[in-house]
Amino acid sequence: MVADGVVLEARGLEKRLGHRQVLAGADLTVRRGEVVGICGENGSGKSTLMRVLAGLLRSDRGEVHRGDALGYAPQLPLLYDQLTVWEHFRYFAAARGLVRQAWEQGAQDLLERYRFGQWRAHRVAALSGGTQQKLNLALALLPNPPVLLLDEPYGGFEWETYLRFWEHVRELRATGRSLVVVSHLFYDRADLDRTLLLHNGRLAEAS
Amino acid sequence: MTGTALERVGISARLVARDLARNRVAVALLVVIPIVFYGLVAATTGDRDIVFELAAGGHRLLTESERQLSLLFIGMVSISGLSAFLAFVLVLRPLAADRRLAFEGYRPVELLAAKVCVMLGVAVAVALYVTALLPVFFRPARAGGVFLGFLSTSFVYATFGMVIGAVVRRELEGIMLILLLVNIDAGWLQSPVFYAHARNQALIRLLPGHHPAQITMVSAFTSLALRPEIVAAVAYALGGLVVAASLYWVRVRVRT
Repeated sequence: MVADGVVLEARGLEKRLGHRQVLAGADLTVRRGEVVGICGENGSGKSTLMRVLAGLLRSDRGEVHRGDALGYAPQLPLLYDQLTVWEHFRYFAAARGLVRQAWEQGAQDLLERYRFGQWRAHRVAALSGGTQQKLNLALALLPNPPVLLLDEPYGGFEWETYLRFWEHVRELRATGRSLVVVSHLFYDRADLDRTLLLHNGRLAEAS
Repeated sequence: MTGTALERVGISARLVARDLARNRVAVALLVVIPIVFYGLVAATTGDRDIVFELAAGGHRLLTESERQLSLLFIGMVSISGLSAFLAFVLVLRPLAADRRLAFEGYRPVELLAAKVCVMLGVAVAVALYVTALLPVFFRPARAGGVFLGFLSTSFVYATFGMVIGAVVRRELEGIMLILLLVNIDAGWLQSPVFYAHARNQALIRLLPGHHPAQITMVSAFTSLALRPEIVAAVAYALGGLVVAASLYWVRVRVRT
């Protein structure tokens, strides 16, 4: 059971990968319209935490309550090398059951906002790392989910697209969307409602 | 499946087929390998007669040309390798992206159904192509039966390619497993000449290439009934498909 206004809640998450205890009792609560940043050293378990929150990886202990549908952008783009950008939008729209008019308009808006419309008919294998990252993010944004889990979503973005991303985050927050963003950039903190540090497998408010 | 689910399977099947067809190396291998294999056999075998016994031939001794027997055999070997490899690629390469699609709302069974449709199409195309090349070298007694033999080889090995794709983590391991299986089974133990003198024929009869090989050879050289071998080959392919589907589901499912 999730408390009023809480869209995502995790309690006592534990996860061991090989001999390493990656999560050791991590707790997280995300409220409606909140932007939560998760930072931590490389290898501290941020991506593991995001995968557990998304349901892509099972925790050894603890539980996750998801109040609404989630969107998820993994750190490394998970795409089909031989499909075009537009075909990806088609495929992911079908997964969410979006009607043609809605997804085509949404995809077009995202292509313009993140400035990669010129690559629409190109295959993923021919795209730069930054453009693949834009598509990776755009696919998570396409269905406009109430809660978004974004794992270092702007890796490889040029400065202007990076700024556009945070402008988009502010717009989403204003419409009541909640976001969990993995980040280790100091500049981002101004746009985050809370910043949590993942250290020794636990989350704590960053000072 | 609902209309919407069927529509989603259709969209997935179209995109899976495009993803595979745009892989130029795989398509080039598909075209070139059977020609090279047939060509090598035609260039290296003679016309001497070989006496052998087929498992499905009622213990009758057959005497056939070494070249004809080898051409059929190498046709099966090329089909088994190609089908297994293409089905393997169909499953392993997009596995992580498939998992993301499952997270987004695709049911693993829908993604799998789309792959099976494409896999069946690939299996038919490979079998048709290799059968169509055969008359360049010789005309078997029952060409339709030989096609059925090649088709069942294609299906059986495609399901094994899917199983391997759903089990291994990296491409190299999978390719080595496919090479091993194809070489040992289709490329060696199922040779009628070897089978006739094998010490443990029961073990050979359990391997995936056995029934397809019997359909092919029986069709090419006899007028015996094919039905028992066809039923056994289909059962084998369906069994492989069930195993592949279960393993794929385990790899792709999302825990909500």
